[in-house]
Amino acid sequence: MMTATMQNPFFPAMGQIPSFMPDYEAFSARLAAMPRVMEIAQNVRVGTTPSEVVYREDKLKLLRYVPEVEQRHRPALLIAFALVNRPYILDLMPHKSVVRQFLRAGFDVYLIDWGVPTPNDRHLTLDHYVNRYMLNVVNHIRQETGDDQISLMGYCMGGTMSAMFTSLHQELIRNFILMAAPIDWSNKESLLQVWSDEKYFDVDKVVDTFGNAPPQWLQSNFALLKPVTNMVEKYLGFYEKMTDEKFVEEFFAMETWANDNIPVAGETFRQFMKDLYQKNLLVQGKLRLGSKRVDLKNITCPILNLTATGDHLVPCGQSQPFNDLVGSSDRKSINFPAGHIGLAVGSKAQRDLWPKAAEWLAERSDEV
Amino acid sequence: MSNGTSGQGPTDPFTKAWTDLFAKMTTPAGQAQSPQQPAWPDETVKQMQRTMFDAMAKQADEYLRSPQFLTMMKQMMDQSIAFKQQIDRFITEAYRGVQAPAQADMQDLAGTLRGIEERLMTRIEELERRLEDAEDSKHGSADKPKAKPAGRSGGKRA
Repeated sequence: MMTATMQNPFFPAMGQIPSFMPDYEAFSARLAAMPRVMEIAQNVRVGTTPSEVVYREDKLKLLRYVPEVEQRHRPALLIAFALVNRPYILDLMPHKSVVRQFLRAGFDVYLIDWGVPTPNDRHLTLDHYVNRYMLNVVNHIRQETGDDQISLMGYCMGGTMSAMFTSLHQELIRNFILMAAPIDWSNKESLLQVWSDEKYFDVDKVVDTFGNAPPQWLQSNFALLKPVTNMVEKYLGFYEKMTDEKFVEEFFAMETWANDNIPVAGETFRQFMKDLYQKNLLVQGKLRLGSKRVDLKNITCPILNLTATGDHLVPCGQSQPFNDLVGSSDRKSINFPAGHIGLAVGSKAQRDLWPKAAEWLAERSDEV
Repeated sequence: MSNGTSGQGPTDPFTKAWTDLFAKMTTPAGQAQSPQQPAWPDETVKQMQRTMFDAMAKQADEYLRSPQFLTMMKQMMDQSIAFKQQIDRFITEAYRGVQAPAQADMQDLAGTLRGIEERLMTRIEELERRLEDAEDSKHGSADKPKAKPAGRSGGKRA
């Protein structure tokens, strides 16, 4: 039997073993926090800034946000997000809301909710989205506000579509903000681009078989872009911080959005993959929407190009060339240290980037 | 495992990740400060964790770009497509066997309707353009954005 005076031969070795055993006090605190964590998970609310639906067309809804302060600038700002996820990422939580940044700056803010395509929407093309839906939305805002033009901001794929819209209908756009939007697919920096190489990905077969691009397939691809972060680090980080209620709320809000994928209309997906990802027609000036050719040189309004240095979905190299392709003389870029989604919801972006973007827009808008 | 014939390092990504991790652990930053301090500082543990995850992420990224992975992904997609086509054929035949419309029929109908809509809208746009040109030539062209009424395609104020 060992006593305190006898030397435990294992003691010296145990002193060298790194302390991987859990800190039991912290572990107990996490265990005790579980009911509260479950409660937060069940009650998470997203996209809570008050708005009203002012226009509907098919599945599309146009939201007009209730002003928080007296309107100081015109024209109104229309925000267009991608077709692959829900747009409330731009209004995720009260303290993580791009929409509220512009509302507080005194803008009249609208947001397009594209809706969820059903199997019968598989025939919707990019031309439908840009030259019908977007055009009707913009004309509705012009009629409602009484202004001839609007300011437009597009995020991710919504930015690409907004760029197409602006080049085709420049007379309707006063200012244009591009946010982490892919424009030039000439390099293979992004994993998505590697995977969509026509040698390995037959988009015609996918669309002809599945109709719309399935949301579960899209989501799994997005998660696979950063497998270690999305499948290991995220949950480890959650375990370490789960006693922090604010962190848990933000985590579940983010998870709600990340798991809220929607299908993409088949023909739109086909054209986006073939004409943009695979053939890169937009920068060559050869992209056609219906009978109209999209030429970025037609964009002459002031532009602000926001890119994220840590963007793995849309690397800076896909967005930055936009400034050299347009005909605008007033061109500005801000390359911000954030990820693709962090550009919208990150604390640093909310604190440092969006006030600057609102200021940029205010300088190029009229006072009410 | 390492390829001895070419003299290259380990090609197995996880082996390489572990090798990198333990190589860094033998550096002064990775070691326990002294035998009298058995518990490693949190910062050191976090640094080791960070190093391991970064190595794994790098290896994963390389693998996800490799021809092997791309080929495997293509094969999986081809198999999914073949399976879906088979299921769809079976279900479509079952529906048609009982004189009921299948999803393929509904989608064909939707496609036809979209085509009709497209042709109609193109005609209407053409007529609008001609009308605007006629008005411009009558009154003189105005240098302002041409307003089109909203909801031409069925939209409505909510």
